[in-house]
Amino acid sequence: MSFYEEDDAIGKVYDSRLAGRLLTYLRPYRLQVVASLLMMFAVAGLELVPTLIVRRAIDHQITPGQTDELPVLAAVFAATLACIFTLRFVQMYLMWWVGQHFMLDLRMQLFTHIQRMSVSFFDRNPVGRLVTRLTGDVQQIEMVISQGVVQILTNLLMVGAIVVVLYYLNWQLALIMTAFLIPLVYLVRIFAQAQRQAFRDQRMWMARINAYLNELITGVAIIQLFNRQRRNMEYFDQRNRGAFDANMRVLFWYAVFEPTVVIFNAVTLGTILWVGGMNVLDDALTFGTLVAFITFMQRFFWPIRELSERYTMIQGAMASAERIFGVLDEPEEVLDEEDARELEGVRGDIRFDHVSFAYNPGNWVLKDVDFTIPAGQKVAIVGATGAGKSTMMALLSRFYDVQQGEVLVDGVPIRELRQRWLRRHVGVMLQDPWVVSDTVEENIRLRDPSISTEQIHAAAEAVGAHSFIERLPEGYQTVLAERGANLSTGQKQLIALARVAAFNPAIVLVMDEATASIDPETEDIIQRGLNRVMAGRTAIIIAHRLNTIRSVDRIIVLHLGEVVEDGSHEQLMALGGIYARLYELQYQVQSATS
Amino acid sequence: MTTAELSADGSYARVVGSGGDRIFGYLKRYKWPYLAGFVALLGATVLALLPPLVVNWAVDDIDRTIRGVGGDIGAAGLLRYAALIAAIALAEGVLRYFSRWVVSGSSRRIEYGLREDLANHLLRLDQGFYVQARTGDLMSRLTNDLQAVRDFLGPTVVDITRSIVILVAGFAFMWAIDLRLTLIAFAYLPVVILLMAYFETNIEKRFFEVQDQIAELTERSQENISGIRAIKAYAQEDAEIRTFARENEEMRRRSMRLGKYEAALLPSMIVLTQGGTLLVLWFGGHDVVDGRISLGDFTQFFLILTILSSQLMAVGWIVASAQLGVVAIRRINEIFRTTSAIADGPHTTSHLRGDVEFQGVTVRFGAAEPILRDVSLRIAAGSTVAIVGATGQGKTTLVNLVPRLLDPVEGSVLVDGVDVREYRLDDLRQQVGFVPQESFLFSESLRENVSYGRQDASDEDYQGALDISQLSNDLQQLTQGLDTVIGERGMTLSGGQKQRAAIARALLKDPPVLILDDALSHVDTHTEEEILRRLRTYMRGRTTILIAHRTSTLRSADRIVVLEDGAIVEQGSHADLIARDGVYARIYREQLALESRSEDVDARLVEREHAPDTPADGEGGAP
Repeated sequence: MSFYEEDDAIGKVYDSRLAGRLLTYLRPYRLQVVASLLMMFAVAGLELVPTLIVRRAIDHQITPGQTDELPVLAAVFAATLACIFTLRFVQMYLMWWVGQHFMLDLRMQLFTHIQRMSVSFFDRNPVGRLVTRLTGDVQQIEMVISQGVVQILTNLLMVGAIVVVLYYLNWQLALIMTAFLIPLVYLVRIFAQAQRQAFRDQRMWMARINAYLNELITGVAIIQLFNRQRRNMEYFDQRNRGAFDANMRVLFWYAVFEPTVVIFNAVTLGTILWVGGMNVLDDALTFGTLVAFITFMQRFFWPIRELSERYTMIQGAMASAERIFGVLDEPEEVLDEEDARELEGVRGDIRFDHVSFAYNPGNWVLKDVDFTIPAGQKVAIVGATGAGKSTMMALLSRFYDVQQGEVLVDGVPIRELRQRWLRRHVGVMLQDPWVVSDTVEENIRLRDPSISTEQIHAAAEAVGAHSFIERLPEGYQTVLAERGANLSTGQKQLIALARVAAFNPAIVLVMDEATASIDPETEDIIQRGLNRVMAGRTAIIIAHRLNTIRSVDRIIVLHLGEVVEDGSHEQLMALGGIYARLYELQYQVQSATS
Repeated sequence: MTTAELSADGSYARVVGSGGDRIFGYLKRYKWPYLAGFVALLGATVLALLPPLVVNWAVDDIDRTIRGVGGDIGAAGLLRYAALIAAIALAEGVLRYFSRWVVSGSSRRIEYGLREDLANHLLRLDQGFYVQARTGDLMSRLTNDLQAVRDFLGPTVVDITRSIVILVAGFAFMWAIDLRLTLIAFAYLPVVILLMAYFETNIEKRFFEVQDQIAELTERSQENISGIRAIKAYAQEDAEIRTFARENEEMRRRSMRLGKYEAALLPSMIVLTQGGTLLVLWFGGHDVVDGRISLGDFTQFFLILTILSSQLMAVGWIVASAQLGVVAIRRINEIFRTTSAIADGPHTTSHLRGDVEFQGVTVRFGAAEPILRDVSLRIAAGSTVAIVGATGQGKTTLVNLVPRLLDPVEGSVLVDGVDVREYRLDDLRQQVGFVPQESFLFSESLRENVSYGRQDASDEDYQGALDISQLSNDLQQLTQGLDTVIGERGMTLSGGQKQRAAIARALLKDPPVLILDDALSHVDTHTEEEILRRLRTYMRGRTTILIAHRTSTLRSADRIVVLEDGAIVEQGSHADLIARDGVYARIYREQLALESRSEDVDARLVEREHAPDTPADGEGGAP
């Protein structure tokens, strides 16, 4: 899902602050982690044993020409292998377990946190980005925990153990080998640096390819209709070629790195053979030790090589951690006050008490808006795009907090009410109905277990959605497709209406915008359903049609964030202001074309 | 380092071939690089097995020197061996570099070419394909799957070859020492292979279960976050958290099932390969004592086994990667095998009069109910026809047939008396101006979008198209006029603005046939009137097909065709049909009633009169 992101920021490999914070997630599983660490130590030691057995066999049995001790050595060898298998298996399984629990916890924390964020957070963060946080980013860290860290630690421990044993066996040779380690580490660092830049380019180009592909695929009909395959392919080719070039740079560093390590290995091997061989001639070293040295040498270098391979993995995980914590650190902007309360019941009185609001400081969207709507009244809000109509609705649901003034429900400032309680009593009919891929029933009750099947059916019947739902293949149990693709727009709106009815709110907010692509018949059904939902409730409608406007008790005209006119249709017509002019204009258009 | 090399051997040339042959075709195209790479790889791998032999010689020389039996190796002799090892490594390194650069380089060229081919192929597939395909899935095939194929044709193929060569060459080197011991050392190979097969089948199954669950979680997150406003509006956060927790827990369960096998794989491999060492120690030890082989031989045996083990350790990874590659190849071939149902015709044309005729056209997808049944309709060049009907009656399907976004299952569509399937696709579409229901614009400048169908348009043509579509009014509002970049990284246009841009784009093409599929649905009534008024002049001499609901649009048509349930139920002039008092009359009355009851309170009128620069409502601030 990271398709649209170009945030190709590559994190540091190690950031103590981030790492420390990640560690806190492991605290509940510290027993497992500690056990796993102890087993790692044991494994690092045990894995040296086979080579040491071979050394002993060469020196004490084979060279002197004896075989009496071989069965014992073989038995110890076999027993060691059994131990290694058991320890490694248990240790890896434990870390896998820890990684999975870590992932479960982090993802749940993140998801819960996202659910608690206010609407302005979602204005800033596109859907794709948040989905990536919840999936790809969490996974990336889990991978490092259950696989990366274990491998690296085991390997590092192994290198440590080998160094100890080598110095114990022959410190001069050991010194030579450790001396070779220094330039190798240096070399790996240089390559890693060069590779990083190439990787960054590669990722950037892939993101570009993705973004462009998305456009190609969604716009394919237009491309075909306008015969523009060639030109669009040219654009695509630029991106593809960019990715190719970056790819080749990555490959170059890989291709150079490998042989370098091979040559490095060989030089070390040659040196050991040369110096060690002379020591054997001088009787300062046994054959077995020489062979052990050569064997250990091979185990000695690959952890370093592997480390450079895991490097990108860890780097990616650190970047993911940073992004996840970035989300987790976002404070909730709209908070319940400590003594937030719930009311016994809701009458449905609404009051905007000199409310001013701005999304961005200084840029007022609502200016000193002041009106009262008594319970049960139906009010239409009329005004131009940008007049602040939908903002007013959002404030009533307390999606945002007002900067000046107060919004009150039943005389109580909504700041003092529990947000979720408030929203439960303010039903919103969105312009673009939200549909999940679940059954019709769950779509109406939004998975809220407190709403019974009977209530759902009654609600559907009330708004006139029942008959079409019954006609669906499995009625209320029909599973809707992604974004409700198997329903028409009108049917989706009917479901949204049934939803409002099922939740039985005291206040209904309706976003009623142009739905020109709906045929008159469906339009009519929706209109009737809407009327039924509004009946007996306080209702505010962002009205787009004169029809709706004529059926309400009162009209509020918003203009540039201010209430400029307020009254019934007749009153406003008599006033001869904006509303009247608007109405006249519409009327003229109508009569001109009739 | 890269581009120059690329053009030097002209590898941008694309392989033609159909279906599953495509990847094979590319391999054939790069057979020489691959061959050279594999020869180098063969050399490098054999060379990698040589140092143990040098160690063998050195050990035996030292052994003989110590025992004083026919040999006296000194520091110089040992240094020569050391130098020999370094020289071998140098040669090996060069060959390795060469083989990797050549083989992996070819795989990356293939990736490049395949991606180009795939994108090209996608652009030629018909709408029938896109109705079923999901964008995310297609994108994933062109990126993730292609990368898997590239890794398969590059590193994986190299590693497979290397593994085989190491096994064979290792066997040969060991055989040269002692066949019996070699056979013993290799005796455990079948066990390794069986074990690997066991793990692979188990891991694969569980791996895909985990992948499915990841997809499920992604889907859930996507759905939740896109609907967050509704969730908040109904205070259903807790219900959402509960649902998500269930899916998350399922993810953990599936991962743990996979974990059991993943955790056992590496330890098993370590133990098995070390088991081989144990066998050699036991039997080889006796061989040395019995004088069958020398101490040097024993050492060489031992070192070769170490090399073999480390290669075998990688086999698990290689198999996994190969599997991914094979699956990815299959998924990519699926796209290549999908051929467009819309094939190019032989007939070239540069200008059509615009006579459109549907002859007994039937359209259905698969076994479903037909969307259009036996529709026959003739639209004379230069006339305007409005198509009317409720949602889902087949209106869009009908107009899609003209530029061949779709072909009928039965019957045919004729333009100027020639079956549209006979025309060259490009020629046909060049003659049709089409404004689809959903106006799609590219994230480029508005100018590029409008001139999408015709770059050589004069300023006058531009002005004409902008005027008719009334887009000219919006230009002042845009910071950079026509050069404003729109879309994801630019300015967001309103639905009406997008539709007007789409109209301008179609008009600029200057087509003899113009199709407007509900193209004014997001445009306010007043502007719609303006557009229609101007369009009337433009439509003179052009065949126009309109899909519309609004009465004003309907009245402006020469003829009206009513579709119901995929069939034409009425047709004639507005007056005739009203007089007939049938389906159309009913629809018209309903629509008229709807319009008079609910005529838009046109926001833009207020805006124009009172507030030329109203600040935009907070983006997405609507509840």
